[in-house]
Amino acid sequence: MAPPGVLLVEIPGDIAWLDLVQGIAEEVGRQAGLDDDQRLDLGLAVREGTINAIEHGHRDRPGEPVRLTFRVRADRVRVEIADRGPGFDPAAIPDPTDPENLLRPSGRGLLLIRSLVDAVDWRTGPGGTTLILEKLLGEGEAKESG
Amino acid sequence: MIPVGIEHRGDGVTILSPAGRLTIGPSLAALAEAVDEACRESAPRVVLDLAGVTYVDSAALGEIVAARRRILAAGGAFALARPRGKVRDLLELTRLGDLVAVRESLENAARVVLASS
Repeated sequence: MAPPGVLLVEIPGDIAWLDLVQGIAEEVGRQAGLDDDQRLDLGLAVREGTINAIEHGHRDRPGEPVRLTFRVRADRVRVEIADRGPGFDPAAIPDPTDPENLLRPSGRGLLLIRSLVDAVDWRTGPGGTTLILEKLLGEGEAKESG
Repeated sequence: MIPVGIEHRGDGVTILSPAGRLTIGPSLAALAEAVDEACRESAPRVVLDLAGVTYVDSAALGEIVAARRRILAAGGAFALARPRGKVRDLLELTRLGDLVAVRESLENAARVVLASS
């Protein structure tokens, strides 16, 4: 199992790089001691978060890089996905499972992210928005978000 | 482009069988193209066989919604068959089973689209 540490990755703002960031997330999860299912969950959550950064955060900045910070800690893996966008209000995102929204082809990313990791948070400041995902090591099943 | 298996059965049902991950990019574009091709027929009866799909992302779930819309607009019917593991979990999470019939066997999914046409 890898000791605590930090890995910084910056990718061009293009979905062609999604497989790479998902792969890195899964490898970081493996090094941290996540099992196969947990690694896939982390990889998919990072993939979705990066899609959001590219397609929403950088909607008006095509190609703008996205910065990912992977932090391996004693009890969790934390991933920060930073874009330069204005942020979003999660309360304003329609519930994609509401019958009246089921027909929408988009809007499910945040729902997936929340289901795949143990904690979700975000910070918006003058420099942009950072989505923070945490996957607990060991038996942690508690879900938090806010 | 990652190929999507396409089988035109004698009873008029088209089975689309993507393999591996179904995510934004070439694999999803291949599925969209296969759906478009099926919709060139009148009243297409389409089953998306997910048995070989290891995982999906939100874009793939969106494409399932979009495929349903195109198939229904062409006067056809659409069903999903044999979702496994993470794919099944995400279909349940997003309640897409409320929108599209999901069956555990290809035959049952085929019956659904034949009965709907």
